[in-house]
Amino acid sequence: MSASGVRVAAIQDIAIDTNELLRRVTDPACGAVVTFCGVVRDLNDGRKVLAVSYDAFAPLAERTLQQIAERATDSQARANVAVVHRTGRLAVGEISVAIVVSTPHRAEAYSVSRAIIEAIKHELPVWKQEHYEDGDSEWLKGCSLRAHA
Amino acid sequence: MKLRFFGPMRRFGGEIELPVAESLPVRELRERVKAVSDASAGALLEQCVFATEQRVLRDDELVEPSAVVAVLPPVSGG
Repeated sequence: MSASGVRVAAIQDIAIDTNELLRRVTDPACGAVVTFCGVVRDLNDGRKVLAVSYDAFAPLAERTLQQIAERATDSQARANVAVVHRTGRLAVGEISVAIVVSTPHRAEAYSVSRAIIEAIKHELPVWKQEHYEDGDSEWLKGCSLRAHA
Repeated sequence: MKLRFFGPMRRFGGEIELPVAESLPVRELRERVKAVSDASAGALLEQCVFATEQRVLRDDELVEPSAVVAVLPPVSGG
């Protein structure tokens, strides 16, 4: 394994263990570790949300996560990333995505983390279906990948 | 050719077999899928890309009849 780099880029259908991700980016040269978690929220567009189901094209999604993380760390002399996205049905409060970044200083860690979550929103082949209190369910509109094709 | 659907496209089935004799560019493939789907799929298909497990295909790329292709609607991860 290289001294720094993308340590984890995965799609998984079980709960995300952020402590394990933190352990994976441990690096004695890095004094800053930023953890970002996306969590299922109980309200969207004024509708009460009970749960969210995530669907993914897993093989391409894992490759894309890897590429997103590599791109975000390209310009860094040293940075470690662990990024995981969930699939399946998640209750309110469960973690849907976790990004853990370690760098020598805090500014780079925040910046890499932000770049990764923004790219995930626009590029990752993952889809979110909200389940509402009234029994209805809806897929969110999302961002077309045709701009990236 | 085998097509796999994801996200909001899953309502048209998880997977369909499209009878195709020759290689087709992605843009033609999109029209073929529209022709075998109901009208409500048309607008969504316009926003879909076609992909392999390795990458998203460009509209002018040729797809072989034996290929397995994923139809990916607008994404909403995070």
